[in-house]
Amino acid sequence: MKKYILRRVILMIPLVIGITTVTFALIHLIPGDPVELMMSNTRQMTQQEIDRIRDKLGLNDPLPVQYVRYVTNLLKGDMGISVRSRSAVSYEISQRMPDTIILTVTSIVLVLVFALPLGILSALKRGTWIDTAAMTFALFGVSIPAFWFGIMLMLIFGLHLDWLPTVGQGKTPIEFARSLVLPSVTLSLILLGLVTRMARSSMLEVLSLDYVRTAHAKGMGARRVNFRHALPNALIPVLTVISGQFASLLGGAVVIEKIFGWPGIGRLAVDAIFARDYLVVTNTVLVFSIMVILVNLANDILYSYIDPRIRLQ
Amino acid sequence: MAEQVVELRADAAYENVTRPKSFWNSALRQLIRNNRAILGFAVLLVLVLAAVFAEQIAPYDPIKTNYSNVKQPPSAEHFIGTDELGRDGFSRLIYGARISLAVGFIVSSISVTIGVALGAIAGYFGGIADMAIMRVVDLMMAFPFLVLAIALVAVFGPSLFNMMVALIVLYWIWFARVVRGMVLTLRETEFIVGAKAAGASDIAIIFRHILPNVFPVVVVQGSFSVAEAILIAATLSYLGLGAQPPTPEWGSMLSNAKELMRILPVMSIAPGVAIMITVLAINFIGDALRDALDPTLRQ
Repeated sequence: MKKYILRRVILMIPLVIGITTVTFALIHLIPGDPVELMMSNTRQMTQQEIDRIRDKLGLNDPLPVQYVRYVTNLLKGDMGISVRSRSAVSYEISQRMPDTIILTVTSIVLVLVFALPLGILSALKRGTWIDTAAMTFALFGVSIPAFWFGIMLMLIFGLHLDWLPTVGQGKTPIEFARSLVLPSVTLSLILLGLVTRMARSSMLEVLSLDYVRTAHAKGMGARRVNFRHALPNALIPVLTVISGQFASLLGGAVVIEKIFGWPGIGRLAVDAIFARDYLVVTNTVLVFSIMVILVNLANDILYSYIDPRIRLQ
Repeated sequence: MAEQVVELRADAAYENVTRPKSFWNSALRQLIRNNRAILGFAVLLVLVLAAVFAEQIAPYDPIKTNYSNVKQPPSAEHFIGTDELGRDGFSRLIYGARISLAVGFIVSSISVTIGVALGAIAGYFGGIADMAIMRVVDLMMAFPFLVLAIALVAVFGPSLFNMMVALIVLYWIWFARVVRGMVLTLRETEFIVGAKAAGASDIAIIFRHILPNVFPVVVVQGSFSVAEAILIAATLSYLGLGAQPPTPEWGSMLSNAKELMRILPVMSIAPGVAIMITVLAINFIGDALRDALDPTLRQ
């Protein structure tokens, strides 16, 4: 087991090198002089001053040297300075991290609570109106733009019915929970349709296996067969799909945080684009990618606990 | 003589009884029998017609402002009212079909072309080409798609064109992966080995034997990717990273409408419904194509 985890961690290294190369390239693709961008809010500088700063920041060094310095700085937790807030980018991101995590985790819980039972029910009632209704619902789930769904929720539950706050984050625990409802429901839509479909097809597949038929044949009750024998095996691929879709969940969070004024990393990044605060944008990409890799790693390790066959491969 | 007659009869019998329906023929037959597919095609046709004949259909100029007529509620003159600059919402909606459909189809078709070409090269030739292409693919897969798209647009500057480029840069990967996997298995099949032994060139094998076999899967994936590209393009435009004002685009219309949500909710509803209908229609077609083209799903 330890060996398996170690191997998976080592396999991550080239990926992390690749990701930092891309974010490094993004920074260098930004049109315009980096020094001017960094100092954009201050007075006009002379060429001499710019040259001195360039030299000091090492922008005249060859690219490989700059890349190594970039990675070393990252390892030290130094992501540079945000031109907008004048504070460290790593500080800005770490401040906003909990809000993004709360939002995404809440949506995953919502997906588990709604999509899983719906998909399983539709597999058990295959061909009935319940199945048709659930699959139609799933089709709408993948066809509705999530951000527009958010606007509609805002319109109905915020403005029309006035049940829930539409923008911002509440301070007290109750207010906080209330302000979390609309963004997290909106974000869950991104996975709702997909996971419902996945749960259905996975359950159908397991139900057609020999051991399930055997269980039926030896006279076991349908409920026991379905929920004790079939369900656990059907759930494994569904959980893998959810962790595999973590990246699209983070992508959705960027947009949804912006719509609902939720103070997470996503909104930070979108606001940074228009302030030309590029280091915040590229580091958001970096942080999100690392999060995706870590979630997939956690999933693989968990998977190998549940299903020992994986470890032997 | 007698022998010949028998042979001819056998031929005739073969013609009548077991004449194989061509793959595409039976796929088309199944497509026509699928109600959802017909609905999808009909809706898509209406949308395409609206996009092509926007000038003739739209009652007003979509970008002409009229400050004496702003924020009007829906009426017989303005079906969904006018926006904060007095532009007719309905006319903008019709012109919006043009942008969304164009973005969806252009992004998908270019990505499909690049992805199929690189996937076929990687799968067929292997070696360094495969290594290089697949490392890029693996790497891109590690990024959250939308976040990297946003970063690319941010770096190159928000515009409709840059957004499309960013989407293509990220989209071809899906096709390259799928096609490479298929080509890897195809390469080992007997008919390809046979063609090679008969002296067919690599180019001939790829174009005559491999691509036709990959085509059905690419068509299905491609149709779903049109729907997805439309969704993502609308999302990026909503954030101000795609179509720029005053271009009538559904995503940016929704972003404008946010200010008017209290007094003119219909402005927030209509463009979203338009996106949903378009995406649903294309997904219907995609589902039907999958059912019709995937031999394992056929009855």
